Amino acid sequence: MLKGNQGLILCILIAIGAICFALFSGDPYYAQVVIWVFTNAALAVTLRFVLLIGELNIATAAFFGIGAYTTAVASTILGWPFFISLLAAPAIAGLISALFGWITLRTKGPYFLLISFAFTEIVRLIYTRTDALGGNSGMIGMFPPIELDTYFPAIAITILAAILFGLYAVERSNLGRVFKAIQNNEDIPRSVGLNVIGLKILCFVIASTAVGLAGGVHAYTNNVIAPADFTYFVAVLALAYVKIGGEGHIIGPIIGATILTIAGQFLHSFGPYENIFYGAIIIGALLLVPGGIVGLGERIKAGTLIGRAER
Amino acid sequence: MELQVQLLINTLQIGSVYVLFALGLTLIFGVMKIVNFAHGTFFTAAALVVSTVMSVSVETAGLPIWFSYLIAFTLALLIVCMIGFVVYFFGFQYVLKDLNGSFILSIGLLLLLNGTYLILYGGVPRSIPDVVPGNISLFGASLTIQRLLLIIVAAIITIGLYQLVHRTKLGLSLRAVAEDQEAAMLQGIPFRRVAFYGFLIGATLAACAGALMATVTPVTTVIGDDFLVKAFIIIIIGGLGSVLGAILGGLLIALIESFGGYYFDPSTATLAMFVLVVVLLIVRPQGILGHAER
Amino acid sequence: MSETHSDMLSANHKDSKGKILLKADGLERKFGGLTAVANFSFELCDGEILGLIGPNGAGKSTTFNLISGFIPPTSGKLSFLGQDISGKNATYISRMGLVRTFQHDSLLSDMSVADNIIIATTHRLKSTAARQEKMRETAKQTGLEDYLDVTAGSLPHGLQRMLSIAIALAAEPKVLCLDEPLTGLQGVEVGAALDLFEMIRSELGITILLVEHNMRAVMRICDRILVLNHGRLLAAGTPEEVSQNELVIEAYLGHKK
Repeated sequence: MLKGNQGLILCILIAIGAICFALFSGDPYYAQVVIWVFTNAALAVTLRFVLLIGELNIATAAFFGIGAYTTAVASTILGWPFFISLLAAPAIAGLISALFGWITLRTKGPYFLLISFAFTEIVRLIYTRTDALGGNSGMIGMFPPIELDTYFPAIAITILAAILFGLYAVERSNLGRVFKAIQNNEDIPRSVGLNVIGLKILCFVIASTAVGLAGGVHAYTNNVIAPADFTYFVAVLALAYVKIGGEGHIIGPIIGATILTIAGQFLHSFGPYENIFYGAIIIGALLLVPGGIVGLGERIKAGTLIGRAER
Repeated sequence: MELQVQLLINTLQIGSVYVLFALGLTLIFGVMKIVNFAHGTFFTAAALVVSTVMSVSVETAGLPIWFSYLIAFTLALLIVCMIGFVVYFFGFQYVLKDLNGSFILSIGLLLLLNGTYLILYGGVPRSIPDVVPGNISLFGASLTIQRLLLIIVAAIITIGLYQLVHRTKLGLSLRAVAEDQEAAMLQGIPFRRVAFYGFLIGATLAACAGALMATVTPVTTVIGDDFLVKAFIIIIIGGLGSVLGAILGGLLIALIESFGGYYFDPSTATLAMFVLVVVLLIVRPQGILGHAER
Repeated sequence: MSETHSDMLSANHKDSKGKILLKADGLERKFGGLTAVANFSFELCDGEILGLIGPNGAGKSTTFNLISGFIPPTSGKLSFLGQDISGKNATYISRMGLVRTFQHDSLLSDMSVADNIIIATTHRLKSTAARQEKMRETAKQTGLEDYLDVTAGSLPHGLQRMLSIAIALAAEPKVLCLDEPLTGLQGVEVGAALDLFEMIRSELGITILLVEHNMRAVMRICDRILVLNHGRLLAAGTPEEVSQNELVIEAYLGHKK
């Protein structure tokens, strides 16, 4: 594989390329697809980020929705300007996630998993029951200001790419190392003065804030949002992206998101077969290729492709 | 008063199904330490089988309804056991005790099976005719005999399970493995085999719930999914792995749903359950009857 | 000829010099109906190496978990550096300067040696440079400087033990609690480890509390020894005193001498 910095530069170039493509490609559909790819990549990467502390975070769908609704409310009901409405999304998502994390992350075992799933569904329930939020029909009218209209795809992609690079930076920092240590054996960091529960909450809040911002961007991209956009299935798809691409490296979920978003464009009209497809992919990835594409890449590099998978 | 009784009977009826469903889920967790997100698919499969067999048997073969139902019920259990065997053999046995891995597997299964069900069964809801017709009056409230039988059958199965878990050798193995798997293995208990039995029993319980549910609700391919959130709430409240907890939790949730749904509305009731869970997690993270993890 | 409890406490004091760093008073821990530790009192003095021994099931691990805050006592008091720490959690106590190692699961086995040690420096040192330097220094002290990039789980057993000590050292403790550090070490490794403990005490000024089964090592390195049996303090004193104590002999051999 590429050496650290070379890989990073390549990714930056790809991001810039995507932005240019969105700006100059002419057909707005292509720009939309690129934004979708980046949005799904953000969903997948934020899900994987919490995997660093060993927790499977279904609530990533919930906070994506909270971010989207926050921006929608700020923009259409409160009439706030574009960038303020956008920034409100991660702020609110972050605050709620801090509270949620404080309550749920101190439990061990599957409680976090189950509660984050229940939370996602309950929040959706709240959207459908709240007329101010449009109830079942959701909210409409989130448009970027006219002056920015042609540039919006570029802005969206820049923000989403910034989320991806930002999370990568955190993961590579000492904080990321501490998160991995917590997943490996949380008694060790605890025995040397680290506040394990506080750090778990921090990891969760970082991920939720990031995905909240992605939600805010989504609101402006789609111009309409509805509760049905934010079911737990969103997290399931994100999970599929992570498993296909591989959890070993941050590029994994990005690769998975890219492949499956583009494939998804063709699968859309297949009804139940779409579910079967995703289900089969997830099961196949889990049982046969647990490391995903990244894992395969590692094995090819190490020359052990034909050998038995570790772990 | 009559209203209260009616609501109580509703509670028992909804609760019966919840309890059976949650029992299966909590048993699987207790023994295998995994969360089976696809638990609802066993439930749905049983309901679909009952619905399909009933329509064939009654309309086509003209067999008496109660007899058809018995055949349907048995077939449902058998088929679910087969599905359970297959998914265990090809999947779950590789992710025992792996919380995230098993969760991912079960999500994949959920998608796969739900899609398959839709293709095989179609999207049209189908009801089955009353197995036992007629009403009965109980403490002033009216209730179909069918629903009464549902409650009774569910209660019998629940008691049967409780006896199995607490009075038989298999039950002892299940409990030993749930309590401390390594210690159980040191005593010669074959973990993998016990896990397999636990899984099958759990699936069968879900199947019973589904087959019973089919008698009172139109059957679609998604009826199992609606149960899942409530089932998670139930086993959290009752304590993961606790049989008694699943029973009490199931009844409590049914109570909230029944009374809350009447005096307020279903969504509010669901919200109230969620708030209850959150409060419980703050105060007592291991659930009402669960064990505290170290 | 039995010692009274107060005799044992004064034996606790007798040869101790320097101030008292850690003081336990009537520590008790019950698990349901089982009393793992009962009425356990002792003092740890600055600069000493105190050994804690006892047959299996005597309550040594529980005591360790109590002292380091991994489980709370059901009754009794604990104070560290003059402050009451009864019931405080592990993060709090380790930040005050009492750091422990673990007998099992003592490492971050999927991470490199360097990362294992850097984690321990994270709380006290804030700059990358300072952390790196402390990591190298500690690795050198424990003989791991050539293994920095090796995955901890693939180290030979003796070096894994050294790494678990390195992790604790890198957190700059005042008191180091070692949980059976010599388990699985052979011959030369034991001697090297004991030299390391002596270096930690005399050059780094760190006080050591040591749980161990290796009797010869304990007799060699410890200034004083506490003997636990069935959760209670059976005897306390210098190695010579303890090794001649009838109750201790009876506890270990199962019969009177």
